[in-house]
Amino acid sequence: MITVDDVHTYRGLSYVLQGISLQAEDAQCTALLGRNGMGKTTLIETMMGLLSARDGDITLDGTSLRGKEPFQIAKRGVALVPQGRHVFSSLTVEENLTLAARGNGEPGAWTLERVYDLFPNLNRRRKNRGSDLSGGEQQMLAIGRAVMTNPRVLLMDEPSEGLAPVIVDKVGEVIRLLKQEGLCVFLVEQNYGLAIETADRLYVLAGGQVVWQGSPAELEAADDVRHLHLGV
Amino acid sequence: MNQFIVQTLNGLTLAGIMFLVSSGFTLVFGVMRITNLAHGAIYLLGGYIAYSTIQLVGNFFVGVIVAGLAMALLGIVLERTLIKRMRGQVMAELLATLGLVYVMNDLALAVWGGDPLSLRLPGVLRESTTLPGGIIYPNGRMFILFLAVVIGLALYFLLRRTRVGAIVRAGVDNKAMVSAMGINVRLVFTMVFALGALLAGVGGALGGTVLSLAPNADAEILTFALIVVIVGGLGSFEGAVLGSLIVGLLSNYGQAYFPALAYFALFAPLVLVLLVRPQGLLGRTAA
Ligand SMILES: Nc1ncnc2c1ncn2[C@@H]1O[C@H](COP(=O)(O)OP(=O)(O)OP(=O)(O)O)[C@@H](O)[C@H]1O
Ligand SMILES: [Mg+2]
Repeated sequence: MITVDDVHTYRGLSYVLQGISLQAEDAQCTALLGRNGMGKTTLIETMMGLLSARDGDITLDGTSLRGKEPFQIAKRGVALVPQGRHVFSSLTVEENLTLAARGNGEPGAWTLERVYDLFPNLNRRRKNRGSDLSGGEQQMLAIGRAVMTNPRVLLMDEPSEGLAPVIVDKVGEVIRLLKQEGLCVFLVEQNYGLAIETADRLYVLAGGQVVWQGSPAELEAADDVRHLHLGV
Repeated sequence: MNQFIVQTLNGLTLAGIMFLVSSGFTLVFGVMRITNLAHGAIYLLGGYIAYSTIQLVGNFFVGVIVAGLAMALLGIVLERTLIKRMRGQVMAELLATLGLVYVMNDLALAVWGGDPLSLRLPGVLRESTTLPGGIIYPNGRMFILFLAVVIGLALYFLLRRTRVGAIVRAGVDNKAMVSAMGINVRLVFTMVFALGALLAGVGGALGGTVLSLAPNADAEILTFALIVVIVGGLGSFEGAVLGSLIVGLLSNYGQAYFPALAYFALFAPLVLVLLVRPQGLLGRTAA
């Protein structure tokens, strides 16, 4: 479980996150929706420690992550699938996957074999460099690379961006699988369909603040929120 | 013809020394984006330390190893105290490493004086061998070339075949993402800086057998290294190999056949590459 408590983050001089509070539970997918430039990536990067919050706190299963470096946060069990995928382009697929692989000592832990079973394409291309992959394959690799650290919390920043519908479906399928395994998935999306189908709880971000929260059914019913803040 | 072969071998030896120096320089730049102007001074200090160690213990190889380790240690200290403070401020890094050049050179001048020194190779390496075709060539130079190749292969193995190497390459691609994977990038920086300094130190020890160790030798080797990495591609290991070969051979042919145009031979490839392929022969365009 990861909790964001009244977080304020600046990007340069712009005051992007103006007091965000939210919570993502284990074995659930929590989605954050919002238009372009609302600060979704800023929040994810703050949670990962890549940006530091001016104020507020983020806690992982009750322990504060305040002042921690990204590598320390990662070692505590947070993994990131970044916007734009950012696979290591000069590493092979297999090197991308094994670079930071960490077991968690449990029987069902993620291994290279499991990732290849889930994404057979990656197995076929395991000697290829990250830069040789298609967008969809890069997204699979970014997800595979993150789960290979056997995290407790997975932060996903617009994993459907720029992908063909079949691959978006695959992403949704993977999120459901990870939930079943007890992972806490925090999904940032602009793809309304993917979010509504996979999330158990949703937040809507606008103007640097959470303007709405609720269940998928509630969001489906809240026409005004969808029109005003999501344009759907 | 024999003369040409001898000059080619000389050029290759020079290329080997240039490779040792420029591979460290390019590695540090590739991973840390730091242009370490003190790289030449580290080379020279490494050479001097090898010289004194050899005088003290009477063993060439101990001298090379001590020089390498001492410079690696110096690299760790410099990175942890000085470089770390200026991360990301290009001007500050340049000025700080330039300042180091003056400090290190003055210290070296005080300890080793201003007369050119050169390292003496042990026993059989001081002799020459007659190669097929009747060419007589010094064993020492062959040996330096051989060592440079071995070190180059070891580096290649480290960078391409080990997890540490994968981390270093990933760091060149995207440092923030490496740290988000749970890897302490600062530690990687320190290790890379130390490795760069180690290579420069070993380069100085081996270079000291062929080139002389004297004030200003650091500026000369730094110039070579800069040309090599610009020709080969800044930050590229393969580029350092290719650049060293081109610059080493051309500059040696230049000195041997057209001494008046030696500098032309050195800078011509640089200008050509900058005109035709500014990112260097094997360099990547900035993302
Ligand atoms: N490096 C930066 N310096 C200053 N402002 C920035 C910087 N990067 C982003 N911003 C601004 O911060 C705001 C939030 O950006 P952020 O990337 O978090 O938005 P987002 O919700 O993830 O957008 P998108 O849906 O396009 O990914 C934007 O208005 C953007 O213009
Ligand atoms: Mg974003």
